[in-house]
Amino acid sequence: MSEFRIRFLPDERETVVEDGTSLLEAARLANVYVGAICGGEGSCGKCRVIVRQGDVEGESTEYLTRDEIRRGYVLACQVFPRSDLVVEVPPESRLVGYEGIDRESERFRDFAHRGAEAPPAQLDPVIEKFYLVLPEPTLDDPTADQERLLEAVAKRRGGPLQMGLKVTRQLPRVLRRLQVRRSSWNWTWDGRVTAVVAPRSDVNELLDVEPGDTSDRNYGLALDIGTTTVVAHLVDLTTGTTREAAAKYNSQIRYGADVISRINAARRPGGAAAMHQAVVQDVETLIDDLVKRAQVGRKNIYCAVASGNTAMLHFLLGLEVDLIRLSPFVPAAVNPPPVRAAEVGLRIQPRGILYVMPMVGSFVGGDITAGILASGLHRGEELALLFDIGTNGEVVLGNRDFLVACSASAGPAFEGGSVSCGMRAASGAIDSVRIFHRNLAVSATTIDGAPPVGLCGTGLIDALSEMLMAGIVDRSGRFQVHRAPERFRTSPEDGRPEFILVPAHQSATGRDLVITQADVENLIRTKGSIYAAADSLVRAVGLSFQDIRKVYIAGAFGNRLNVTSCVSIGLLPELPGERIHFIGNSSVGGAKLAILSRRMLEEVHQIRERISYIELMVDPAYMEKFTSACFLPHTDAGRFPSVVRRLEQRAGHVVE
Amino acid sequence: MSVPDAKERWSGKITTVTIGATPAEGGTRGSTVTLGGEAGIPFLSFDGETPNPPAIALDVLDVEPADWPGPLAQVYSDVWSDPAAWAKRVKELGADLVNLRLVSIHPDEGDRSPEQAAETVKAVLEACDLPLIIWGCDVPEKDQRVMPKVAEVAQGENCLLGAVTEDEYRTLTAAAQAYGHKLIALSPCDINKAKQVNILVTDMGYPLEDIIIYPSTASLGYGMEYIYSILERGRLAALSGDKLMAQPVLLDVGLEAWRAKEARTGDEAAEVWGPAAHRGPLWEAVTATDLLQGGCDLLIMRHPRAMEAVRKAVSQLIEA
Repeated sequence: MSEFRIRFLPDERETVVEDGTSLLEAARLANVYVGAICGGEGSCGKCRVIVRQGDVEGESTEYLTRDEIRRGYVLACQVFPRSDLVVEVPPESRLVGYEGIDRESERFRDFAHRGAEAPPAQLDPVIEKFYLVLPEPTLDDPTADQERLLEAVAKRRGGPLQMGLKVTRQLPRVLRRLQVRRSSWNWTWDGRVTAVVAPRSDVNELLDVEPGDTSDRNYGLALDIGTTTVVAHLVDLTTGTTREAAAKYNSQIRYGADVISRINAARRPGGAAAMHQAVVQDVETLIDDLVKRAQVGRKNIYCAVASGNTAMLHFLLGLEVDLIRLSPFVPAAVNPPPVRAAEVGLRIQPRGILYVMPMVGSFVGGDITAGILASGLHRGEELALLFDIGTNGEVVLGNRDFLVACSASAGPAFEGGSVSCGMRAASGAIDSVRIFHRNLAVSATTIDGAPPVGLCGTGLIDALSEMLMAGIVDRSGRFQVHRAPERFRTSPEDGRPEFILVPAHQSATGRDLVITQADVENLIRTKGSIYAAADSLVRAVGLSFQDIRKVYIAGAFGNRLNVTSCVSIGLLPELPGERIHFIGNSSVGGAKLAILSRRMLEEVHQIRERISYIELMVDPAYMEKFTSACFLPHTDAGRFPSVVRRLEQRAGHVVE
Repeated sequence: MSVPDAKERWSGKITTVTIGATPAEGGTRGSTVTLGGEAGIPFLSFDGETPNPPAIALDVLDVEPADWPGPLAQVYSDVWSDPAAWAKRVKELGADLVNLRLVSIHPDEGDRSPEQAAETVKAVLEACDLPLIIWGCDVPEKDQRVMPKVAEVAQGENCLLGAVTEDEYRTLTAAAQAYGHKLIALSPCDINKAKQVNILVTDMGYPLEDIIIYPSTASLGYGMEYIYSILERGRLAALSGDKLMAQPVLLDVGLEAWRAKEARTGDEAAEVWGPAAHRGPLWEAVTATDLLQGGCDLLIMRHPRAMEAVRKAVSQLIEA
């Protein structure tokens, strides 16, 4: 069998592959990241690479223009080497900030923001360290080492206490110094130890005993295992502050952008282990970065609290994920007990504990219970809505008396996945758009001010809102080409019009950055499903949006969302601005609260028990609400009076 | 014990739309037809008035129909090669309006030019002074070329033009606006879509009061109940004050009823199904009278006996 040497530019990485290995697979082997939303099925057209030298075989014409094919573009998942190759990965296919931690990227600014969440009033961290000075045993007081220690700890932390064999084995040498001289040895009592105690469901465990006073070295990790982004905060449990924060893209992305394609990937041979490893490796990479920057030893990280959607937490724990996507949608576990982090593969303190945010079901995960905890929605008297807008959309309605949640099958329209010029919110992503009504001139800003590479979710929402206000799309989202024929081009794929947001000569990719009719349709469906989900929840309890006093917006792009744009396109209900609160990444926020307060950790479990899940797919009125919401901003204009007023004012300026 | 007053008090009302223009109004029609104006549920006279009973238009095609079955051929075959003569026949038969379908402009059905279509419309307008409904061929690219021309030659006649949809509404709306015609807004059996089409059209500055809703049609035995429930819900919404559903409703009963095999099959099935001469018109009449209960203001029909049966049923219901 022949082998081919493949060199990837611009990373200058090489790998040798066997005949029959796709270029995408080769890139994975070489640790070169090529965006493949569909997981290599040839259906997304995102894994564009340029063959600079050598021959390949395979068909990849569907997503490429004639000109691009002439320039050597291929889809990496669809072609196979026929000789040694030099392959260039163009900017649009490279995941900027994917590898390692790009602290400069605005994408992570929210996450990296330290101490954004106020520490809970009562600092009562899950991991307690007790500095103890144990009295030296005597003939009058011959209590064994273990009992001596447990008695001392029990005075500080009541309730049942357990202690493993490993710690007991070490104990005598921690309490004493052993001096060995030639043929004799001598035990000298010290008695100064620090006991590390962690709750494990109903009992406390004495995790470890350290010599001397180490009580000021007590750290924990708050983790958000997102479908798109994995976030880790290193929290100082003695002070309640966040020492460092880091984030990186979920490496599972190479298997597909959405949860379902990941679950499918897990079904292939070795897939489940690979998916588990990918997540664990991501967290490990983040820990490396955190401990280096904070100058903290891994052995002083005693716990991790992981939040995330149900599928991601299953991947992290290595649980069976397949059942999540199959009716009747029963996950392996919704409330997994605390486990040793080492068992999962996390190299923190060897006996350190991993806590997992409790999940409600297959479609409402630990990120939502964490989000509720972080928002405080479950404690408030006023009626509030929580929108979690990420790769999936979830909505929670309630107050201290009740909690209902539902999941909107939103799809990854906001995260760049299914958008033709979409990308994750990384350097070069257009994140805000303004279109002037008179000449339809487009003004856009990009993350880091870099030359535009593509559009991220906020940019897309902004673009649709602006296109609506400028009359470039009508209220059903159809392009009004006659407004400015020169600003449109015809799609090489489906022959429909595409609006040119950034012409080729101004973009970083050398291609026009366009918004296609399909992009607009997807976005309208996504926003329609989220709005209709909230609408259904509100109606299910016999209320209207006007009764909602607070709206919390959580999610990856939390703080940078433009509320006006969200309301203009009908993603969010039109409510007075002061009722809308951005809570950023509440998944990690909730995890952090739980790590800093045992009461909060208990509370999140109470939240889980209190939530009622509403399955929209069996609600006959949902489809009706959905079609009604698939319009800009909504078919029932009375729900969006100010948007309609602005549209009418605009109509006065627009010359048909 | 007194009988409680069960009368509903509706806040909304169906708008009224007039089709056609007499010489006094700048046209050449001998009569006009006013649709809508109901203030209550159909045929519940105690609930609210029905000032304009449902009007009926009879179909005229601009070419000889290829597949009209025997009972229809008996009525029209001597005139159907000439749309003008056919239109005259329709008036003789007692229709309120002429429903002209420009079938022959379809690229596969003759591909006649906008000018030829305009000639046909002119001829029909001259031959028959009933108000006129004009439909394109359902191929957007072609209709966009033909309908403005047709609207232009019919200027002043206050015709009803069909149909705008969510996907294709701009050209026809502009034409109707420019030459003073009314519009049919088509949506596929979906209240939200119906509203959305109305919004799109009015966003162009076209008056909501000049729109007729066409929620698509299905005949007896072929999903009529879906249309029925859409009609009913739309009407209740309109009467409850939903301005976007308050337009008169049109149903294309003739086209749908005569597609049913029960209506089309000839006397080879007479033994089981009864004679074709009665069966087809009955199928059409039953479809129409059923759907009228849901709330409908303008019926497009084909067979004169079906039309008469519907009129009779309507007059009985209104007198009752």
